[in-house]
Amino acid sequence: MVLESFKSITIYEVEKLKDLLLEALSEVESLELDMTSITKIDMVGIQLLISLMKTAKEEKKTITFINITEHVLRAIDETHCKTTLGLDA
Amino acid sequence: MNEELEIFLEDCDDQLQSMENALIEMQNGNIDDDAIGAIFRAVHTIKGSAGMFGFDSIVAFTHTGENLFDAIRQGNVAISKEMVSLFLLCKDHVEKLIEAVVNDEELDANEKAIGEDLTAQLNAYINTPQEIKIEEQVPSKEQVTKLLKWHISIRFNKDFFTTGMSINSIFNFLNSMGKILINHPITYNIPNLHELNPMFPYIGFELLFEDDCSKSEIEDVFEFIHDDVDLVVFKQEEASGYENLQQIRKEKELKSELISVGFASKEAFSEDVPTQEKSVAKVEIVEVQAVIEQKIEKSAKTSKKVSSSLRVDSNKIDILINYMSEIVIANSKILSLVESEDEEEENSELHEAAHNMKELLEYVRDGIMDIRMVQVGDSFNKFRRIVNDTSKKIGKDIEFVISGGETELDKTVVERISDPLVHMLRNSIDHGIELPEERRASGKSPQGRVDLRAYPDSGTIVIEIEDNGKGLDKEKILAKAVSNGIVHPSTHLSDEEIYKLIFEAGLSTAEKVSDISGRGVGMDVVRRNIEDLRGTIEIASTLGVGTKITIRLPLTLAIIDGFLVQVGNTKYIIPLENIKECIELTPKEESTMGDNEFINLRGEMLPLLNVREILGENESISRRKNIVIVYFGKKSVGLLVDELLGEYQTVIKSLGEVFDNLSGISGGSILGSGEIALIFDIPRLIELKSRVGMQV
Repeated sequence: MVLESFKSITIYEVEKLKDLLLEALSEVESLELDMTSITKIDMVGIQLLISLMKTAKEEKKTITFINITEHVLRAIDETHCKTTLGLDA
Repeated sequence: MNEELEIFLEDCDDQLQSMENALIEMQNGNIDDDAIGAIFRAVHTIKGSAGMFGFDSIVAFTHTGENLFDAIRQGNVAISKEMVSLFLLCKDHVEKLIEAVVNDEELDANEKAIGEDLTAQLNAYINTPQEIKIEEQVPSKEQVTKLLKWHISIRFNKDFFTTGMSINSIFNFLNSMGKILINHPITYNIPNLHELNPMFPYIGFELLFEDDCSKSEIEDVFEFIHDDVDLVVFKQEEASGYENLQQIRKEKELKSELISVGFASKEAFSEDVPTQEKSVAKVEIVEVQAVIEQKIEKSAKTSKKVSSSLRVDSNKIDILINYMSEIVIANSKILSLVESEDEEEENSELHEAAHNMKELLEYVRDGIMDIRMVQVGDSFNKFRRIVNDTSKKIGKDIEFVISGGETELDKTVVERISDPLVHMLRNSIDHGIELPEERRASGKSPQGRVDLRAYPDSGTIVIEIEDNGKGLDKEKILAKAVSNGIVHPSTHLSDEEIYKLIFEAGLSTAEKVSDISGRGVGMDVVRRNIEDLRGTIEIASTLGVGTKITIRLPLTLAIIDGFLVQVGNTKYIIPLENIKECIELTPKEESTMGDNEFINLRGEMLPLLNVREILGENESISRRKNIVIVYFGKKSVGLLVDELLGEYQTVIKSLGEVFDNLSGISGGSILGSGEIALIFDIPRLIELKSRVGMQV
């Protein structure tokens, strides 16, 4: 799934994104999120992604993040959530 | 500028000011532990706050300064006068850095170079072994305090995300204080997407933090988000620390999580899972006590004059004052209607209500005015640096004494008086106080003294600048004024009038024009500034002994209590604060007076000002004549008017530019009847009357 219409995953986008993610997840067994267009993320966004991971685990599905930008990766790292999101590459 | 940034700015301002004050004290020889501690704290606080906002440039620069000052504090480096001067320069540089980040700008190449140079100089002091005090062998208090491991458990209240505060800045700040050894996000509280409320902060953090600080210092870090965060802080080694945490959090996954991450071992938790009533109560008592202790600590720390105060946008106060003015006018109308319609006072209840209203409004008005009052001391203290730098620059040794700093003045007045005061202080330093050799030669102590005083006096505030320098040279001033054509050679002027000449533009008897003063452009601006504030300025001086400048300012700018009088067809208002007494001019007295411009008041000759003549009014309507004796400072004048109409609380409205040159009138006011009354500018009138022999 390409998140091209989103430039950030922050408090401003999470409501909309949550619905989209739920919909997308319900249609597949394995969801790949293309983060190319995402340049900004905050704690609210990170929490959303963690929730996504949990949901997938409960439903025995997988989530993969691809093309995460350096900047976003660093933001996630600063909140020490890299491991939780399976981003310890 | 958003609110947090504003608070940051103001806080840094305060810190830098106290840093500067302490440094100047040191420069004058008073080096003590308190001053050193104060400077260290100031730098430390600025660095920390900057860290929270991510202002790396400020953090980096202050870091070096903080290190050096910490070394001084611990006795590893001895402080010297050169270091103090270096620090003053560093303070200036920090100010520039702060300005730059707040305006979202970069420093220019020159400023950057200065910063680098200062950093290098600071580092040089840290690395070069200085004369180490022998007592240094005894470890200072800081060295004895060992590093502690603190457990910090963070959960958020429902509104945390909406505050916009980033938890990262908290982590950064903590890392600038000490070291976060473990930072573990708690994610088991986050539900799956179906149940998730995206805005709610389910996430939490458990931290292991190493530092030599106290518990309250850690809690202070969270001060900005105090209401939105749920914090539990305890020493890792504390016996029942983890047990209590478990009780408080009531999260069944917590124990295993903490153990698996390595915060604590199994033994740290009590074996009983069901919460014991007693221990819960104990935990609550401990918590409450901790909160109380924290509050006591906090209020004890607040050594500033503020216990509970608000920062208020001064525009809001101005709007309130405007409305207050309109209300006063509206009420005057009501009052006059009540009084005119009910002359026999039949409806005394209405009268009473109306007068009650008037009184209440006066309270509110005074209360609002009071909000705008600030202590002049805050402003005066800023002059210390200028006096210090200026005098050092030209090689003069000057003791600068400020007294009456707690005197209050309207904020606007304080702001507008600042530049004139600086100008006059510079004059005192530059032209007044002599060089140490000169002073010694004339038998004075080599150190000169400049006093800046403020005190209230009969409805005005007096500000004095006095120096014990060489005084003003009357002959020179007069000569210069004559040669400039300001004064006719043959006119006779009193000493005071001669001194007043220095306010004329272009007049400076300074032999050398320095870049501080001497150009003759300045005192005229000073006088105008002060007159615009409805103030007056007087000069007294003795050659060889010193000079004293006295400024008088009214307490407020907008509303005054006045006395209404009539002259011809026009009503005038005289400010109550300027009235000494009123006397009736009987026809008999009038005839003996004749055309004299003076009257005999109980043996004293009082100059008379015939308002009708001066302002071209018609004949008196009622044939009554009165004299209102007004004063300002030490001078009195009698105003010859027609009727006296009584006290009147009034709002000063400016008449506009067209009437700017109307000497003696400072504004207008709308009466309850809708008429306009002109307000006398008593200081000006008195001055006009006493300017004898000058080409006005």
